[in-house]
Amino acid sequence: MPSDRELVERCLAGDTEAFHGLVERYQERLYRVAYRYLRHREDAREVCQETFARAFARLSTYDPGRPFGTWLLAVAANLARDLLRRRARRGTVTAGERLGLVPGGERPEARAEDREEAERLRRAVDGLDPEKRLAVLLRYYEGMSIAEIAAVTGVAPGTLKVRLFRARRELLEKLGER
Amino acid sequence: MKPDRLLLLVEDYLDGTLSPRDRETFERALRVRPDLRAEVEACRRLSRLAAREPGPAVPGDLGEAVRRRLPRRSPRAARVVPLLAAAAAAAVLVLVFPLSPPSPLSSAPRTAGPGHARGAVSPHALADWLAQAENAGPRDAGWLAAEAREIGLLARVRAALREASGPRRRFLAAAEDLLVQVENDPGFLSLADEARVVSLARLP
Repeated sequence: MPSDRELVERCLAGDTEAFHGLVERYQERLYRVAYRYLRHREDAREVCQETFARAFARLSTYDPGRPFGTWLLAVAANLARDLLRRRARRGTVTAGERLGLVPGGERPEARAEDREEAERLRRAVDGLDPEKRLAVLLRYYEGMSIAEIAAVTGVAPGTLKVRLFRARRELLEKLGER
Repeated sequence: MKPDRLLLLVEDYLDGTLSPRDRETFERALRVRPDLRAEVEACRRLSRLAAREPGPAVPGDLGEAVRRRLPRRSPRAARVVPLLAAAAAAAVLVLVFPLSPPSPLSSAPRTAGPGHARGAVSPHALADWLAQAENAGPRDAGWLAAEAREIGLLARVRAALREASGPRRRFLAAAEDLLVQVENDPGFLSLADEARVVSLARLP
């Protein structure tokens, strides 16, 4: 299987089909993060499409010393944040979205009790402010390291750690564990 | 509440990025500090719980939708068109909306950045700045914000806005929005696109 770097180089050399290898590789992760952050299917889909379109247009500026997935996520995270800001400005965030009540299109095979517990956490995460929510999604849902999250969000590691510490306090309180 | 240093090392401990000495200190503290043990356990518990949440079903046609949206030419070729459009937009701006005559600020030294080589601040400061912003990448947002502050761009736009009317007023209002956004969040990655919107969409 070709590496990300190989696919980027092939694409820059004129083989645009190579970019679709990168789309296949990263679309699920991008959609997952965007959906969990925005809680809106169409918006998440739009963010994914726009992220790939921008990545394609700016591929020549991509630094191959940086993981491609992190670069993509950085673009997606900014687009998603902008979308939230615009929604807030337009006042189009629905109560359901704000409270995380929009159904998530979950896979049916998840066990009921697992779903229930995960659902409580999801609601608690949805109630966090957008910056804490993004940090929590990348850290606990995507399993990214602090260094990777810093690269995606452009936030200093120290600030991220304080943000996560405070987010944990809020989450555990909402889960009734503190 | 500001957490103490060891509580902030929990994430590094779990990532395995502590130095051997810090790791030893941390593990010694873990044995005697229940609050630290609770913090480590809280991180692990959140990860376990999060892992149980089934991810959303990805739309089956997402890949195809992306494919339809991408141009057929290579990214190198695709980049030339927006650059030409941006240059044309900047030229239109300079012709249609010169912001103000040169001010005493025009002799101020420039912040280092891609625009640095252009010399003193032009009388068409806003058009000049927007043209640079339109071509900016993620790493340029910081110096563009610094430059806007240095030449007092927001204040100049606001001053011009007070006397403007019609399309020029709408354009300046959009520029003001953008500059406020940049002022508040210089890490703003889609700066280039916003600048493009200000330059193109707000023109009559």
